[in-house]
Amino acid sequence: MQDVNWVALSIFVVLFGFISWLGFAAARWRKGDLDLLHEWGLGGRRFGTLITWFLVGGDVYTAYTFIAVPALAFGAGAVAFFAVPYTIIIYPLLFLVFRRLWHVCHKHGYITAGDFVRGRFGNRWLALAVTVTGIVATMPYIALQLVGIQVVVGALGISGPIWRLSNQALQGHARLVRAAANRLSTELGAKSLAKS
Amino acid sequence: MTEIHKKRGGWSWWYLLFVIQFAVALWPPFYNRLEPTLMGIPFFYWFQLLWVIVSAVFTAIVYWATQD
Repeated sequence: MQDVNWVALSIFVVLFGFISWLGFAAARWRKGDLDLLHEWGLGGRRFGTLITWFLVGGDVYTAYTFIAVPALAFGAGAVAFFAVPYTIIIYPLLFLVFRRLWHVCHKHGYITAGDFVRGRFGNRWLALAVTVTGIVATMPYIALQLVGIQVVVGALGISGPIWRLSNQALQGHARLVRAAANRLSTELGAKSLAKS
Repeated sequence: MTEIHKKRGGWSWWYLLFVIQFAVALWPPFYNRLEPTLMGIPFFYWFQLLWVIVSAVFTAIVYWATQD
């Protein structure tokens, strides 16, 4: 425990406590019936522009943005600036697609991407494939965020057997995800070949 | 889907504003240079950061122009 950065650890604990408190307070404020899927998944469709703006910000500016991209810039230089043109290109694309997607989903009461695909193309297997792909594709992303958290906690000066253990678990997890993704792409490829 | 397509109008010439920012962002030789620097920052860096703001303004213009 000699390596602990007490100033950084105090700031981390205070902020973590504040955010946790904020989360519980927000859950009680305008409470919805969480047995309903659109209450659980979409906040009862009551989010306005301001809350959505903060949600998008929370989605985009993650541990990856604040740790991995600056680390890449520090270590490798200008190549890390791929992230800047990427945002310049991706925001207008999302603006074009999501505005229409929102209107269609709002009108027909779709909640997930699977709902939309099923409603639009009328094929439940396609909807299932989209849903499974979404879940599988999220896993390496979550693994990436966990690595980011590990770096944050490491910067606080906390290290030890438990973190090495989690690192091993992460690597095992990443292998599992890669294997699943490979199998899925093989199967999907075989299926599309069989159809054509 | 078809009635939504009809109602939302589909194409607008304002969308061509996005082509400008795509072209600028996707062609690195256009800004891969040191000069002119801005407060010591090479052109490569400040030009891209400037286009974050420009593209936000473009998106806002398209949003207001294509609103029903």
